[in-house]
Amino acid sequence: MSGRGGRVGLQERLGALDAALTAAHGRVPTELVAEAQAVRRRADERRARGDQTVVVALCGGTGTGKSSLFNALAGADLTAVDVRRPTTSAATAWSVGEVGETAAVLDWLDVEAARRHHCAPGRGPDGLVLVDLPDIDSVATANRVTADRLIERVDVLVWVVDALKYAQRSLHEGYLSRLREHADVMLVVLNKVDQLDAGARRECQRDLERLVADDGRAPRVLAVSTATGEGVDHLRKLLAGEVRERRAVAERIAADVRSAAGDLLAHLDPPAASATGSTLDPERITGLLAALADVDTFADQAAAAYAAAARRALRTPLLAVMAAAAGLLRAIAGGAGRLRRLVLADRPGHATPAAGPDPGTAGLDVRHALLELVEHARRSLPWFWAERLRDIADLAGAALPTALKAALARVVAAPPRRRWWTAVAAVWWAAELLAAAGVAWLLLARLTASLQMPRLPVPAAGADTTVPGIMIAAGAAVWITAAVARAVSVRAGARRHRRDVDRHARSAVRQAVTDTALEPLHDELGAYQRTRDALARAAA
Amino acid sequence: MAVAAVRASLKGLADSVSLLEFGLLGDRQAEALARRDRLRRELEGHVARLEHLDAPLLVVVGGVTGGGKSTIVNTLAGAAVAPTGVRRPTTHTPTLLCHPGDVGWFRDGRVLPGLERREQSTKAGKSRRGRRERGGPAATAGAHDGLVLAPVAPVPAGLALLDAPDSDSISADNRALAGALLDAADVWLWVTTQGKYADEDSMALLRRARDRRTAIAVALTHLDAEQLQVVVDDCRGKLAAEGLPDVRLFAVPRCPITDEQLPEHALYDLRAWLWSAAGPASREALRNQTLQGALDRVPDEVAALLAEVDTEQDTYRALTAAARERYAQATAAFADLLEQGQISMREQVLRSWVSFIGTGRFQRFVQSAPDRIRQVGRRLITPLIDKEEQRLGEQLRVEAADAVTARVCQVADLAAGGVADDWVRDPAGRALLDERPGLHRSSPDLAERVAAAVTAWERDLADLVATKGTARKVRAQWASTAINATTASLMVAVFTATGGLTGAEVGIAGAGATLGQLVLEKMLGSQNVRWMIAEAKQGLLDHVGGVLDHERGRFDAAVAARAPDPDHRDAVASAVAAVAASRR
Repeated sequence: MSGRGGRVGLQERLGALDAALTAAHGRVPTELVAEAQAVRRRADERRARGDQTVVVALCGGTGTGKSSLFNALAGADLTAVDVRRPTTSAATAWSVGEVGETAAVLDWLDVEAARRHHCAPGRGPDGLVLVDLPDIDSVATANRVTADRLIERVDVLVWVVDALKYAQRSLHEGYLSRLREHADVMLVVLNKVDQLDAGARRECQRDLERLVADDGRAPRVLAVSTATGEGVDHLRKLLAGEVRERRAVAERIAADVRSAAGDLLAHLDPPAASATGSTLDPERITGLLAALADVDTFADQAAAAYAAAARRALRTPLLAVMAAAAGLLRAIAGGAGRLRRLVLADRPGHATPAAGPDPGTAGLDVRHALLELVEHARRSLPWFWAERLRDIADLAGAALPTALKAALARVVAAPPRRRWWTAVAAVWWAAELLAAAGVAWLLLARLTASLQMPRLPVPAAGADTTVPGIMIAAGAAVWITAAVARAVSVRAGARRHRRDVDRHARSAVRQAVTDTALEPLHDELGAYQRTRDALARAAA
Repeated sequence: MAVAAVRASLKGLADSVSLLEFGLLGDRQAEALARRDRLRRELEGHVARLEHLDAPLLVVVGGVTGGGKSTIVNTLAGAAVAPTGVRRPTTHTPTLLCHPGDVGWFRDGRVLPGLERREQSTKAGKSRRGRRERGGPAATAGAHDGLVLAPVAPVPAGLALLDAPDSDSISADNRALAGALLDAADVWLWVTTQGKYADEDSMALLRRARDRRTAIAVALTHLDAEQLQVVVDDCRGKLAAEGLPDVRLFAVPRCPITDEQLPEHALYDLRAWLWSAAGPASREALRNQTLQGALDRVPDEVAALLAEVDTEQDTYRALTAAARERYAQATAAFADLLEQGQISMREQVLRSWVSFIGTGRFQRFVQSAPDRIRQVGRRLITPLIDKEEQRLGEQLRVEAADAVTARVCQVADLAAGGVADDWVRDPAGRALLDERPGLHRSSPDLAERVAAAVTAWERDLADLVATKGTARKVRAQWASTAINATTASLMVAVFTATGGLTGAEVGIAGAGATLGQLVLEKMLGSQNVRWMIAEAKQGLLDHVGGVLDHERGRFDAAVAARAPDPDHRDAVASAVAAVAASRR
């Protein structure tokens, strides 16, 4: 038994397998994970029975001399040896020493009580349980079932191979190539070498070593003859060493885990065509859905509402009169429709979200956008996992229109009331009042003069100006400045408000896409990666 | 039974069987092809045998690895002609032993067709073996190198012994070759050992022989003298349990081997039986038994292959049905979109068209009698209107093509993805998808194809309008402009006329529809408009349906390329019926 590789602890390995099985649960077809699950279960069952007993099984084809070797190792004729084939149809066990768990282990292995033999310590290594298995290749197929069950459960496998039929297909393809991870807990015994001369024996052994190396990591090959006793002592010594070290239980389980995890990992490989890039590009779908939700119109409307609100807040009586007159004129020129629109447009309010796709009609766009989203990622997954991604995308597609609508409804599009509106309005009013007062003063002065009433004084304020004149000029100047400032700032404010609403709406869309689609998809891709990573750890 | 007729019918069957490709079996294809090839080879073997019924009796020495087949052959030949050794498997190249007078039978392809031949003396055989044993090619490596002919005098005339590779070998080539040779044999000499006579692998082969009523003899080798009778009895019991009660069983005790041969006495019975089997009467009886038994099995073997073809047909139906279903859904989805007014044009484009129509210029133009237009200066107004109409019409056409293309691409993408989803669940479908990497997406030139379809549809509309327009006796002078504008109106009506919605409810698109309808009614008469719109919609659906059919065609072509040809299946079925008829 070669190459003890205990770099990864068994506990860690089993933990990794557990993590992989948890992540793969419901995602990988059950028939693919069945083996790994069975290994996991057996590991618990075996570990529950302690590692003080080491079960060594003699296995192989019919007529290879398993039972003879068993008797030779036990030093007693415990099991029947016959020339009629197949001879052994139930397992026979020979245990050494008083180790508490032996009985528990044999119960688990389902060895009949009548076929359990026992001897005191000293006749063999304490804790050894040697099991003679039925054959794996005879016409009695029930034998193979019994043998297979035990081959899965024992700690050390000793393959007994007849020197005359060592290249048999059923042995190599049926067993050794499947046990390619088990070199640590396996021995291959080339039996009946007494029937070959020295040269032939060497050649035979070399050839068998080559064959088992083809099947995987090469286990040790031992030449033995039960007839002459050659090699039996050596085998006994190797087994005694194995039992003393008491590592076989853990090593066997580790080999099983490596093998099952490796097999499962191979099934999880992405299709050869695309090995990289299981990423999702959120930008494209966000843009698409923002367009679908008509975020632009939404923002435009918000900007218009802002402008309307600002203009309403920033209106002097003169302006109101002028606007009404202009509107009336336009309405008369444009007909009744225009009038109606004018009235409607003047109604206070804010942008109603035009937005939010109608779940009934936008379904196709959303589904298509999601198809595009997962397309790339799906191609880098095995088909059954890709199918999961598709299912999630379908669910997201059903939920997304509603989610988008809800998210956009939360975006505040109502125009804010700016504080400077009041200040500007006050200055504007004041300017208009000032100018109006100047005009009134002049008019009054003119009126009193013409009516020959006591004349209202018009004080001169310089060479050729009067106080009311200055009032009018100053008021008008301030008024015009305020009007220009209003126009400029309302436009700027509307632009800023549009930008804010647009940003909020887009981030709402992004959030909805993330919550509804991206996150579940990322979870799924993460589960795939976790499974693979965990399996890689388990198979390391 | 006319031998020639049977031969011809078997030949026909072999030819028709070789047409089966099993392209839709997914990962089971290789297995099915191997079965097909084996059957074909076997049939060709039968044809050859029927052609040369007086050929020497072919006894194939087959059996388990390490059974001592080559040693038996050497002993019977009285010389070391076949290589033996401890390395398993030893024999890669079958050696054929026959009387020197019979060698002509085997030199050409009359018997055992399809195997390359090499003739060699006993010495050459030894040196070849020497090379192998000195670490030549690895035991599992490569293919066999044909058939080695070894004419040796001790073999009586009329008998040929063929040393086959082991049937339970780790080498797949050996197993396949052994199977082929056993199929060609007149008699099996099955060699097994004391340790292996109860092996499932070799019993499975004996069961095959039993089912085909092949003439069998079993040689049980490596027997320990003291246990001989026990083992022989047990072996006989095992064979009887498998339905082979009266097989000839030869016990070969373990003996010292000299010059790769057993001592003479070890094979005394076996030799006597073989030598007597070479006599003309027994030869014919044995050959007939095997041949008729094998021919009796042919219908079953063919039925098994045809069952695979039926599986393929089912797969074919399922895969094409999936594609049909998905694309039918796509077509229906597009029709729904059209019906709901979801083939959306940009509002701006519609708006400018509506304002063009809505300003009344066009309407006045249409309403005005041609005479009056001439009076107010047709030369001035008409070119202006023409130009504007052309610009807007072109804009509208581009917009319509874009809108239709976008929607068709969406439904087509979803359909292609859906078919791929359905197919990937089936191993054969998975293989097809892997084979054609772009299949799960729409074809790259889909957009152009849709644009072309829309253009064709517009031409149809123009024709429709022109026909109806002339029916309304529209004057030629302004017909061209009117037809273009009317066609555009019809297009807008197709895309915007949604079931039951009025213009005010659907905004600008509705306005377009209302105005378009107005123009259409003026041009074509109100009773015609509804019908025309329906006609135009159907036309668009037909064109788009054509594009989607083409898309589906890619999937159909992918399956069809691997689907079984029903003619081939029928050919095989009728060929097997012909075989049965000719044997009657």
